[in-house]
Amino acid sequence: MSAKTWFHQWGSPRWFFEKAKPVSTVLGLLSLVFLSLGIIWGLAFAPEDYQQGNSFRIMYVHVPSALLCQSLYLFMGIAGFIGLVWRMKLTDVAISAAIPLGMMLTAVALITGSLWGRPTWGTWWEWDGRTVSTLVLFFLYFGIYALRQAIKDSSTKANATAIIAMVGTLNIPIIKYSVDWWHTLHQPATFTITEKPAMPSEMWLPFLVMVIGFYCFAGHNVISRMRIEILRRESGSAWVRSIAMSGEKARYVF
Amino acid sequence: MSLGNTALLDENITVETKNLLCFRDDRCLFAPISEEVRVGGSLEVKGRNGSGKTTLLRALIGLHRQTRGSFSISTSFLYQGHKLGLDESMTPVENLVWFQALNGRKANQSSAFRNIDFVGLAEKADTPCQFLSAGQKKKVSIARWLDSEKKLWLLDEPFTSLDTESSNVLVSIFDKHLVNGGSIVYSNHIDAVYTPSSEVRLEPVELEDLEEC
Amino acid sequence: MLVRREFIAIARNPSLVINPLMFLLMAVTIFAITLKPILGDMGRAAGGLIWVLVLLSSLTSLDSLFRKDYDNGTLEQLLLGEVNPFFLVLMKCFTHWCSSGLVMVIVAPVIAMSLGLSQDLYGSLVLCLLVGTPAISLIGLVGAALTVALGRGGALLSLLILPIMFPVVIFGGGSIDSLVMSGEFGGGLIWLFATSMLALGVAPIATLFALRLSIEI
Repeated sequence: MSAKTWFHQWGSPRWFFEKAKPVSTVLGLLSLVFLSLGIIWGLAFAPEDYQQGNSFRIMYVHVPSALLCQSLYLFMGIAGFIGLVWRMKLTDVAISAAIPLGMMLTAVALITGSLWGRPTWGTWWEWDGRTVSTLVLFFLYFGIYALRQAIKDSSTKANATAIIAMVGTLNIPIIKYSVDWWHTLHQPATFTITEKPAMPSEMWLPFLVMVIGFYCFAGHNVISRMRIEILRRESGSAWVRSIAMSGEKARYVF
Repeated sequence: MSLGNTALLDENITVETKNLLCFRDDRCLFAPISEEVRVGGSLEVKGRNGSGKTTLLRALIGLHRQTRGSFSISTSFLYQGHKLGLDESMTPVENLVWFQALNGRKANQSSAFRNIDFVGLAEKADTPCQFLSAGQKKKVSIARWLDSEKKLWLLDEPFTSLDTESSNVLVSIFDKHLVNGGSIVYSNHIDAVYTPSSEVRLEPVELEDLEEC
Repeated sequence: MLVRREFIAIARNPSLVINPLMFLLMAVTIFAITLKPILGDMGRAAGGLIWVLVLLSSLTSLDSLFRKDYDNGTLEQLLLGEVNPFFLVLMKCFTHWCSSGLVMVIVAPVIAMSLGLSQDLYGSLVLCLLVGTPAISLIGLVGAALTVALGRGGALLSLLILPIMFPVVIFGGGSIDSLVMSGEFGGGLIWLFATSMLALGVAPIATLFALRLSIEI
């Protein structure tokens, strides 16, 4: 297959709808395996933290979701760039699928962080560097969400989202740096991950499993949503109608 | 800007469309349009409200991208939308001079004043546009077309908010522009004010017809 | 004439400058009333407060940046004209900065005095504002261009661009804070400058894209 035809396939929602189904299924199964393995291993078998006791175990949910919500924003920025440059419809489908998941994971990261903060720092909320950047990330997600709510025309919506997602993505490293800079300015010596003693492998292996599980889950979730969104957008076309008529909706979608 | 390929254009043709379709939210607005406008020719775009007259004009100048089919347009054109494009805080003369600058010309106040005088607004030439009536603002925009030195005019509803007398003036302006080697594409929902050299009516289109073409 | 028009618009409609300025003064008053009894000496907080206020008051003028041009159709004429639209966007940004950022820079020492910032820091404060306020105008330009066609742009505009402006306020406020504590900018000024330069590189292109989208609706 030449590079050109390979590239053109991505312009066809139908092609994606059909090809993505096995990918989504495999990722779904993988996430099931990794997440259950990681949760059982992390919660039941990993050793206690010598300082924090059992409370550190929330890290197995908190850190993967914090990582993933940044990755998803980066994903949206890249998708937006591709969509603007090559005028691909599929990228906006991808962005629309990533927004709710990204926003939810950012909220999960903030809430689990707050729960973790109570026993470790003795407070539900601390204006710590990482907390602030995650909160700003949540605001960035919300801005895109609000913008999409306000625009009716679908192609305008796609392009406007792409622009703001790209600007936001460029901005994330600056936000992170500025918050860190601000943080060191005020509290020069505080607890950071890098200063912690190295985690024993019994602790970080389940963590690694959880991270892989989270990414597989995100892949599965985004692709499934994309397929549903494609059906919705292409509802007027012959191929979607034939699927709807065939009475095998469930099999095609999930 | 997704303007048509100007290289395709014959010297005598300023606008050409082949099976042009415009879409809004993936809905096709009207049946395919195949028209050409020659130098010295005018095209009236007819159709009921919401039939896509404005969209067609905006598609031609690249302000509406959801199109199918092909079209070409000469590069130097003047577009006048529903919104007149007049700065309310500036006077008619200032508006015309601003437009000259916008099109890369040197400021020429006397030409601006001459054209404002031509449409009968000489005494309002130094009044900020916010104090003018709708009809007077329309006349300022007409003065701007005269002042623009552009050969191809694309006008959206040029006859609305003009009284009979001003409409007649506009008709004579149209005739003069065409005689001078210009061409005009305009939309109109009022009956026969001006007799164009050709006209096209925008008809709604069914989805089934579309899949055939 | 193109640049002149922007200044004519401001000169004949001075509320464009006066409204954000009055907003700024009122906000200072509110801060002073609520925080003075708690903090006692507000000098320490003055730098941060001024940055927050400058940011919020430029928001009030950003919404109208393209609104009038969009409503009366001059915006589409601007983009259809033969002048490079990139230049037009930079011009818009410059005039917005003159009517908002520059005015804030000028009144900043007065506000700083009223909040009790140490006098030796006025110069540094003005320098910081000079370096950082262009970033506010540039980033705001993108948001204003994206929301101009949406009617109820105001609140949405703030939601969109405030998170992007966080670094400006953090570096700006942090620099002054660092000056108060240690007498040095602590790297904040350089980062403020870098943020403005990055905004200058990205924002005009993004604004141009966004304006084209807005007039295509």
